[in-house]
Amino acid sequence: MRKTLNASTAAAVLVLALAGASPSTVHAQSAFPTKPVRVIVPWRSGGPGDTFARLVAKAIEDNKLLPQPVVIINKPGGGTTIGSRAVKDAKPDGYTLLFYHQTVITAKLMGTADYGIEAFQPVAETHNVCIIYGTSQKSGIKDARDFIAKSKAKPGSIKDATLLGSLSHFSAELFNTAAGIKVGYVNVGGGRKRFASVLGNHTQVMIMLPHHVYRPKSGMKGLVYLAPKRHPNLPNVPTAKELGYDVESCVNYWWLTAKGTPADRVATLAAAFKKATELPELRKTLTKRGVNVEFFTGPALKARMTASEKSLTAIAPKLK
Amino acid sequence: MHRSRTWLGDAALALAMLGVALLLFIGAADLPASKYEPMGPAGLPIIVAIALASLSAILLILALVRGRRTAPRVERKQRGHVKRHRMLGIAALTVGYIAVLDHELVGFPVATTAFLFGAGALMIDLTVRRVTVLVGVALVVGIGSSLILTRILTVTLPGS
Amino acid sequence: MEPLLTAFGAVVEPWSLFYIALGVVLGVVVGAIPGLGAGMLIVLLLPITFYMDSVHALILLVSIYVGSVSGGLISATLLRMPGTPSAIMTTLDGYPMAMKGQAARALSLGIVSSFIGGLVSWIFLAVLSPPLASFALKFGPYEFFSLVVMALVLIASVSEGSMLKGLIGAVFGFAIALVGPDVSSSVIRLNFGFTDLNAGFRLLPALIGMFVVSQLIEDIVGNEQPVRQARARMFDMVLKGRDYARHGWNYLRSSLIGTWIGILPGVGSAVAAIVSYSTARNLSKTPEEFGSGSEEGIVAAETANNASVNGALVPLIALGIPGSVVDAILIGALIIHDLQPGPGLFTEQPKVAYGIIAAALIANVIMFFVMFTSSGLIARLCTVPKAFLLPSIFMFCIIGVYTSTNRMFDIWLMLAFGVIGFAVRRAGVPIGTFVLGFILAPIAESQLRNGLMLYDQSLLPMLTRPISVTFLVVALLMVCWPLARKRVGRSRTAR
Repeated sequence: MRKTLNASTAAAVLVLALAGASPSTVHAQSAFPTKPVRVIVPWRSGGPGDTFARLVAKAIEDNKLLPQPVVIINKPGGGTTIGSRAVKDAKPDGYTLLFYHQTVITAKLMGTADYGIEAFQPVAETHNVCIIYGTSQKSGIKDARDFIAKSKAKPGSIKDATLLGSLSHFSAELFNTAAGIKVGYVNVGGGRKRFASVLGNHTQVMIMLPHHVYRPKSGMKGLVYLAPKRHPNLPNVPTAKELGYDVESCVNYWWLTAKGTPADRVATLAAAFKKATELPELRKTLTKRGVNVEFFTGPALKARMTASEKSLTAIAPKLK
Repeated sequence: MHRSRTWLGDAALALAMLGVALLLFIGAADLPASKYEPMGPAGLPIIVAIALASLSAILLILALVRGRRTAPRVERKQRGHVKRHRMLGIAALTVGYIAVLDHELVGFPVATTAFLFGAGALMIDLTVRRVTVLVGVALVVGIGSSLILTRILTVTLPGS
Repeated sequence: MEPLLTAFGAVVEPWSLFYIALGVVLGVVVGAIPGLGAGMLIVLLLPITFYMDSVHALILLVSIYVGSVSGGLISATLLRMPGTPSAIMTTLDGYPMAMKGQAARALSLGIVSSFIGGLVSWIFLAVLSPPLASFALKFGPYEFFSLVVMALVLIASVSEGSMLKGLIGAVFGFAIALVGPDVSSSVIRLNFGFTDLNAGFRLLPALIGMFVVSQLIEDIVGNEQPVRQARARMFDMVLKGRDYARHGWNYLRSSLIGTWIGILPGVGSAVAAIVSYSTARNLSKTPEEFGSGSEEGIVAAETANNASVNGALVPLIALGIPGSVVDAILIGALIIHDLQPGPGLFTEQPKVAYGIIAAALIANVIMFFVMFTSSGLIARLCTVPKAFLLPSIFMFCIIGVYTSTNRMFDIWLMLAFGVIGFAVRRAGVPIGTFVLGFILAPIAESQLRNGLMLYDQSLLPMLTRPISVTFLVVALLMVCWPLARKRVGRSRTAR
């Protein structure tokens, strides 16, 4: 009896040991991710930022760029700080990502959050779009020079529909300070309300994105484009550089995770994002929505983030 | 319908609102001014605090005056739908249910089924038959909802 | 007109009709269950609609919205729990009527009111969208502020009890709304260091807590035994012609109020119901009945809230500005399908724009039939023993709140609001004033401060701009109206 037991026990142990040592198990222990990856989007479902995150996540899932699904969770509120704080405090195991942009910097500068990019581990940047300072077609402002002239003649008379403390506000002030003009900021609110304000001629100028100008029947006109070169769809809108002001402001869409996440996991995620940005289907969808698909990670990404932080920090005292 | 006609209820309401007004004052004290308009973030909180304090003070005075004039009516202990200690049990169970979900101790289906069964059991007098029905309902509703939400609608439920 | 007719032709085909019907049914169910709402369902379906044709996706979502605003009245009447915020005022008179054994009549009044409200507002939507939208563009910050002042003046008349408590309720609503981000300056207010409060008290946890959870507590702690209802049969529910005549003016007036409040961005169906209710009360010959089973109250509230749904579609389609929280999500649906809401939508994607408008009407009609046939069944469900019903409703509240914010903290808040709501209602504070204050205070504050920024710190434009001064004058008249009324009444009796 005992002999048989011993034999069968030994056999069982042997089988288990072999199973444990088999290549598949070894693989499973080091393969990341082994459960779904959650992306926290700090805006409400259906907003423009949310849509981008879902498009990229869907592309990753459909093309199996990661072995696990990518789940979008919306955590809006507190000026995006509810969502960003949730990721900042999350376990640094690579399973919680934050989809964000320069608001990570502006929130800290405005005092809405007590942390900035230093609290996160950057993973990748997948796309960006540069900012345009524009007006309505009926506002009576002919072009950038006219805008500057009118502002210099009566400082503060031209009203800018903005959201105080937002990246739009920062961008506007970057240009206005460089041009030496004073503009009257009115806190109209989120995107759509600002268009109504400008179209109704309550305010005259606002920060927007290129596709807001070139889409059909927009009623908008671009004054100055805060990018390195002119936009292909807006050949008549000069860049700030062309006007003599060295100002650039773009929205860079960053994927961040908690500080302390192991470097190999960060690399796995970054690789998936890189492959996603190379997918022709996703490139087409994103480009159609007016953004440039450009991938950055590692030191290049860090450099971009630091440059952004530098220019935004410099202008922050003028906004508070 | 359940209007408190006793001055005690009114006084309690007034005191509570005075407390809220005080919180508003304290909270508004540290707020910075705005460089874009005179009101600033502290403007409305202070206005509201003053308004709330004034209204509550009026209510308090009226309640005390009325209370002094008429003999305080002792409100009859209305026999509730559910007995007192059971009410406490339901309250504790509710808090426990949310706490379990908050700390992700067990999944949503398990916690919810337990809650549905427990709260229901506390509300009625138990017989074997009722317990069985209750267990059945708790399972169906608790697990059913979870399945519909996670499988069909891809919701992330609390405690997951 | 032409594109609209073609849109009708396009929508009256099997798949589209299916989606509309599906949307209405889902909407009614989700609206009837306290705790769940259209917002939640639409948000959850958004990713699924990715795979659908854009027109189908949008008409499905709009139909859900239409259905839910109507569905809310069922639980409001039978359980005293508003299934959606739009039904908050319906609880005040629907439930007392049900308690007196007239549940069927209350429900049918509500359903017919919803239908008429939807019809009248639809005419505005279909015919006058572009001019209405351009008119809405004329509203600057002081116009909005004066309008909100006008609505807040109604607080005096909304009070079902003492005016003092009504004012306290409203100001308490203000106070609650102040916690969190200050829109006009990006400063976080009144969080006392608790970073969890950085989002403030949001609409859904606060309202579901104040009105549904508080009622759950009331049901457990209180002692009211609802009258055992005979089955609410369809037969009992048909209204006679006399009823239509009696409430005729109410239907018309409430539809107009609802439509116009819907058109205003950011206000929503709850406010439409409250404003309509209190206007009806002001003009009624029997104002004391309001709050204990007045038919006029139900008619006013339910007509207006359905009217506001179509009203809100006007700025949504024409300008891309949401009329309420649910509309904001609908805009999200448009964006996901790469459709830009705004004037361009009519020319770029007429199928979508007119399709939504056509669907709104058909959804309204289908809603009428669905509600009539299903009310009986849902009424039966409400007679389920409390031991099964109440905990389940609480579960739905948790699901509804969690799916909108993905935070357990908001569940705790909901519970806290439940307790606060229970206490505050027991103390006799009218609920309508709290909701008005809570929803309108942020709008009033931000518009006032925007106006100051826009007009270089001057308040004068409030009185010199025509639209703004009109609202202020009306507000003044509304303040004087009760006094004038008393004086007229006195002189009449003196004779």
